[in-house]
Amino acid sequence: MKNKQSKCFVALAVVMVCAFLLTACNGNKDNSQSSESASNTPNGTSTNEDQAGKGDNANLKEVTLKMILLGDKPADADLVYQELSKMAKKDINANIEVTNFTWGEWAQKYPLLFSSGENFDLIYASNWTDYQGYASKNGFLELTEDLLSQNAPITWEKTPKDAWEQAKVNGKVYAVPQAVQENGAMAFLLRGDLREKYQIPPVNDMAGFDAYLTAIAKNDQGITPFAYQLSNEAYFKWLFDPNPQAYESGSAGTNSPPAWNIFSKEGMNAINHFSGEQYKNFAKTMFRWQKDGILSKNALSQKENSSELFQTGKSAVALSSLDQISNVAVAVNKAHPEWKSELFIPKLNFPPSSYMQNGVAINARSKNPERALMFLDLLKWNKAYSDLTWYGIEGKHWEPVGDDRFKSLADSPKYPPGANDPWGWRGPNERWSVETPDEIVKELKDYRMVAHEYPYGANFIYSDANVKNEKAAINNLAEQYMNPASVGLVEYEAAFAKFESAAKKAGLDKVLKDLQAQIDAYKANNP
Amino acid sequence: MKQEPLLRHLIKNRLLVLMSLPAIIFFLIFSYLPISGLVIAFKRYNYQDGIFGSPWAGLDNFRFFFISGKALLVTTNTFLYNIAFIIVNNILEIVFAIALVELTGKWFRKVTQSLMLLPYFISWVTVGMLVYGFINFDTGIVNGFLRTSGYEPIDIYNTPGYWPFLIILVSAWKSVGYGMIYYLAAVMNMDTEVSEAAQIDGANIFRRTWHLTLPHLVPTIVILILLAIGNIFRGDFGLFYQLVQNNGVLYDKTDVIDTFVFRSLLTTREEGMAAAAGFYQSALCFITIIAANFMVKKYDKDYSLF
Amino acid sequence: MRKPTSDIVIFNTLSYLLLGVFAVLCVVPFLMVLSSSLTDEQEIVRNGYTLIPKSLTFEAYKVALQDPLVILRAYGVTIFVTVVGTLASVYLMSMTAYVIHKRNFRPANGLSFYFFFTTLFNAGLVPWYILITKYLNMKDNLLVLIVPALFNVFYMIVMKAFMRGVPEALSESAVIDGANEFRVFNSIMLPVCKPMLATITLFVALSYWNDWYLSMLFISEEKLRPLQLLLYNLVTNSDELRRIMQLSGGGASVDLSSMPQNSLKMAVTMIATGPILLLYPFIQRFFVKGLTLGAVKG
Repeated sequence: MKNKQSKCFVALAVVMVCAFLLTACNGNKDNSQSSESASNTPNGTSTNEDQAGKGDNANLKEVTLKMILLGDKPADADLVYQELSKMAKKDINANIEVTNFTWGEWAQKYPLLFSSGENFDLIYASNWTDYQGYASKNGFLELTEDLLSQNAPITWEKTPKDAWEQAKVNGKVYAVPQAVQENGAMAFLLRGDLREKYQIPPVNDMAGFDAYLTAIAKNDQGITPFAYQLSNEAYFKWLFDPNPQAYESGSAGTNSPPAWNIFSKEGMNAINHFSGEQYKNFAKTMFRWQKDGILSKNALSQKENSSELFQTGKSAVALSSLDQISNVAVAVNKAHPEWKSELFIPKLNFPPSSYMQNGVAINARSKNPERALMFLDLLKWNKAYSDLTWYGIEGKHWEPVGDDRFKSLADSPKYPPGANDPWGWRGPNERWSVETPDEIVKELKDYRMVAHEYPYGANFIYSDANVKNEKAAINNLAEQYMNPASVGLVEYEAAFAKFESAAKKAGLDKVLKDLQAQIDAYKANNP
Repeated sequence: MKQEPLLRHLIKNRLLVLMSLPAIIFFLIFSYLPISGLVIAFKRYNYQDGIFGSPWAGLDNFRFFFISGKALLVTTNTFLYNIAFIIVNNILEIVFAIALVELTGKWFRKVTQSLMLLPYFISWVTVGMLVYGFINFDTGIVNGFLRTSGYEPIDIYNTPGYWPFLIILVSAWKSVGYGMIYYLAAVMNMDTEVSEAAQIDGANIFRRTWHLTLPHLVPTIVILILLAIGNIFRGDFGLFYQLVQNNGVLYDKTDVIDTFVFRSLLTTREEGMAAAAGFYQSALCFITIIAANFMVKKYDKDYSLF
Repeated sequence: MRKPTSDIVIFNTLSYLLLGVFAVLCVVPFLMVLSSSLTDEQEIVRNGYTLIPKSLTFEAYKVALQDPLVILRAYGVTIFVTVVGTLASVYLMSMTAYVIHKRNFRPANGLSFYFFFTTLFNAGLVPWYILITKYLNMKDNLLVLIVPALFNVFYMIVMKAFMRGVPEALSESAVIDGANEFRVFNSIMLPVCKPMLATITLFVALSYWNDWYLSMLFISEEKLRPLQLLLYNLVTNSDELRRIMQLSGGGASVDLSSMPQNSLKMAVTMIATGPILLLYPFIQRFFVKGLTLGAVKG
């Protein structure tokens, strides 16, 4: 018995010594991570081995990085992940594990990751996945200059200052935004065949658009001229701004009352979105359109958006962002070339979309934030990583056509291009399908070549932390009273009167005052 | 007469205690332990501090519900709809159960019984789509039928007046086939000797039903209604949300607490506020069921829940 | 066979009418689902849902079953969870109901309240989720699909009420013969309560079969995904995808044609719910009229 015991002790001692030796050899890189505290501030004593993402992996301890992506998992995703893991192991000695949240479940599972302290490292973060909410609740790790410059040097160097500004919550950065500016333009797809049939002149501006819609409503009973879906497509109300070169922004896309003007310092003030000129014009036009039969009577309940209805021949107009209209155009031209679809891009002063439309954040509880950032650096700037995660395995799912185009191969449906949530690390290596119309690719690509200036105030981030209750109540009221006006079912005056009296009782003024205070603070810091 | 001490009683009935242990432990772990998390309704929750470490927020999380001015309306809606569901659904279930049991025609009985259960299997998402397919203005089946018959189509989605009836109808359609099964079992369990004797004595089927079957069903009815009252301030989210969706025109007539809270919190990340709304509902249900149970106990101790 | 009296005739007519109408109302939408699953997608998109497929096609089923291994595994998981869960749940619940139905067991009422209270107050998803994943460490295994749903207060109370309707004389005669409570429960009470047990078994089985919530939250391992989760993902993802695509304003660019078609959704609905429909007729055998009560009289 004693013999056994002493043998155990010897074995234990041997193991412990080995462990010590191993940890000592790996440098103190991983020791800077303290496991208890959730918000990690790294000490500045990281060694120089972790300079760039590649090479020198002998000094890096093997780790496994877990990444969370949104969207249903494509059939061949596992193959792609294997490849990815192989590459990352070679370059930074990290195995990669990916978990996909399906679209049906992500809304519930995303917050649970943080509530339950799940172990993962990277996660897709963006404005529309409530990046600010999670950041302000300490779900994400604060990314300091040290952390970034030492572990993701290329990202640190190449990401524009504006991008970091837009990723700030309470003055700190909690995610790595995408590194390219995207054309935030909206675009309409029209039915060329109907236009010719009813002898409507080509559409180049809003007046022409109106004429197109009115003519179709009058002559064609089998199709809804413009079946727009309020919940997802109301942003085209920007077109009704009295000044399309300096329109109101801020919450307008989400139909929420607090709004403010961008483009000029003087014009930037807190307003009630529904009392502004833009909304008034919009609602009045929608009322007219509803009467004239341009909009669907059941616009509020409709489940499909205009792009889908366009493709099934139920809507004469498809509305989408310029980026996505290309997908619609490709599909329609293939299925119904006889429709002769035409593009109409209104001349609005579109600022580029926010850099935080897509980004990647690091879990505040991550055990390997430095390695995670190194991996991110590779994903963003290394063409091999970018191509793999965006388009799949070369030769199986796609093949390159030149530097910026690709052709889908037979297996492409098993890993559709751009479908596996790679947008978080969108960089300069993006490719477009050879089937996308050249004019659209040119618009999108050229846009990214130049650094477009954001209008004044585009970096302003609104936080509802002080008025959460009031804003929740008012949002609800807005939905009830103003949504019907937004599809022309109710007249603007009547709807707004009801809304205003209810909202005032719920604290509308308090919300606007709070917003104004934030704007004033912003103006003070941004001359 | 003095009652024996509790401990002695438990030891005497130790088998019963043992038999109830699995359930006791189960609820202790899965229900009572998490209940401590209710404090989240009174806290400004953040992920770093967790539920118990986060700072207190008093009643702040409850404010959004009440400052909207709609609190009373949605609470009343929830309550009234549930009352309607209880009444309509139970009456239908009882009628169908009795009809089914007394019916001659075994084949018909078996088939209809199975068919009536089918709606239970269709998810609310699908039901929402089907309803839309039926009643929408442009392509709905109902309006198509009206148009071909020469009548004016009706815009149901924009007319709140129809909706209470529509909702009650859909709720009955979906749950009656399922809830009826309780009554089926209960009616089947009735002693046939008495009813056969009554039949010989000349009572026709309607009288037999009224005087024999229904009284036999009373315990079941009371229990089922009491259990339903325990949830009387909770709306069936699937039903209301999938049918009404984002149609603001209908909210005043169709909004219940659950859908209201869901919409309010769509763009606000605050777990505490959702918990606060849940707490509000629980508190109301608690008061109601205690009162209801108390009243039933006065009538007959056997019928009460506890 | 007695000649049917007039009241029976009236009763029958009314019943046939009422039941018939309602049954038709119930089956029509279901038939629409079935027919949509057999209709060409373009037809649906153009003309909506119809009762009889205009053009019969099995395309949707082909797509749904293109990876038969996935469906088979899902069936396996669902069947296992349903069978094991139902048996365990019904037995445990009826045992508990037996305890609290006893009028002369003093803690019975207190226990009833202890159980019932859990249905009133609920701390919501977050604490429960943390309990199961962090403290109980039940993730990605079949146990987590069975255990959290083992007890349902509603059913227990119904069972208790039913048992109270059984004459005490039955159990008393067994006790006189020397049986302990456990034996009385197993040998007397359970057989007597067959219709009720059949009912609850049906409900519990349906509940396990239809559950997607537990698996959505706790299962990430693909091999352990039950049928309903597959169906849920399929049916909800296109709605969500639409919302996301617009919200992300160009950020999320997904090919629209990759979204599941309506016919596919309907086909998977049929695949996921078809089999359990067979359970009901099977259970109906146990709904036997007027049993047992003769046992005491003699």
